[in-house]
Amino acid sequence: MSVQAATNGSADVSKKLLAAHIRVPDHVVYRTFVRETVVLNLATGRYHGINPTGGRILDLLTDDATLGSAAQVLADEYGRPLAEVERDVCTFCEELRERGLIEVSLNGSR
Amino acid sequence: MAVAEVSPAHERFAAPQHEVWRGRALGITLESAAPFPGLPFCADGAPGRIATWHEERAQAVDQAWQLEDGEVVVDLRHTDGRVFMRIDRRSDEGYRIWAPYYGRHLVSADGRSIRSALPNVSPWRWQRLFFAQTLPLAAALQGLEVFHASAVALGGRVSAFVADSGTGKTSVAAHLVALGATFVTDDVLAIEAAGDTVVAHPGPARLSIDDSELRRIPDGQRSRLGVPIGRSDKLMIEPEPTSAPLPLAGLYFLKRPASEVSRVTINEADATATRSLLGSGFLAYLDTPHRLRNHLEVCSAIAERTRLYDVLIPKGARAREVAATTLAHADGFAHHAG
Repeated sequence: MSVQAATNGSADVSKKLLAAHIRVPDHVVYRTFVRETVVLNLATGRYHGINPTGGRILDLLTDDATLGSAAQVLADEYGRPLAEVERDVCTFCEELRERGLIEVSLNGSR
Repeated sequence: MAVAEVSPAHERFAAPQHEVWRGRALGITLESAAPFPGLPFCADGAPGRIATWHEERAQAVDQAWQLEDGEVVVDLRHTDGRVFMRIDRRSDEGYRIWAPYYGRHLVSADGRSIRSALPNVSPWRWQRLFFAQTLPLAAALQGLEVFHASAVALGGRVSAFVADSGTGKTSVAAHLVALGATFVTDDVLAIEAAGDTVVAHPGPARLSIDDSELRRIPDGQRSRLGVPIGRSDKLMIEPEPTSAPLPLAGLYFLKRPASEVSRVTINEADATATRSLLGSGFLAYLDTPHRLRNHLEVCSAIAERTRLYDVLIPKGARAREVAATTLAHADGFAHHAG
């Protein structure tokens, strides 16, 4: 099941997704630059640029946050409604997952 | 201006030699049987990254490399279809670099061995391929990161220039040397992230410049560039590179023509700097995970520990003006930082 499908699904599925962790696969590395974070897929040789907000999300998620707890931190930092930020975080993770840049563990393990 | 011819390679390297000669450029200490023209002599006892170089007959090089087994990673052609340069790769053995009239070179997969079959021409001619492709490849295979850039040293710190081909990297560097800077490298820059600093390694003693650009350098300053040693489409000069690696202070992206300015202007680099930096890597065909990771690491270190600037160059502005503006900027930065 994709993150997007989970986001559009039932409340139970969404809860499960917000409790999920992500993992950056071994073939992916990323570095934060001044104006963007660059994610490199070593398997394809492709660089992916993400904006500072995306970089912040990635930092939180790789620092052991769940999608839900990362959304909570961001909602506090940016003064945005939690539900809106949760949707944005889930959408962002789906985009990274589609590109093979992260793996999402819906069962809570990393 | 007189052009001094150096003795052909087959004469220079024909005599049997028993001592190992060491020269260094782009962070690689090249060990050879005889002095290697264009490589500054390596006088210290800490050779660092070593590559051994042997000149061999073309037949021996061809026998050592069966073309059909390799993967073609670069195949550049003239407009009439003739080969301009070809590079083949065999993952277990390394690389074969070949350009007609410039020789063929086998570089081992670890970058520690180079075997060359050379054409019967003056060294400065075949060295154009050696210094532009072969030695940078050896450097990259040994863990250095190579960029398409020229560089000079000012006050013991290196300023490097990145730009598309034909934008004036070499010309700006040449004018800066004429104005008193120390030559570091022309067209290929080897970088190493070491501790808290980013270090730039000096290149070979070679600078290839348009005659017309050289004539724009005042007579009294031209000798600072070094001795002309040959001429093809450009004039080949033998400058004296800085004797040791130096910290990289700043990286200047040359942008022309810049319609938004009426004179050469230097600003903090804009949002495209990260991509420009990532895109200025040399040897794009060297795309192993190890190299890709190292490239990102070094670019990250450059962005974090040095200053990045855009040099906006209006239409018609000369390299001399760019050099003078850069010199004033670098001096100001050095005073401010110091």
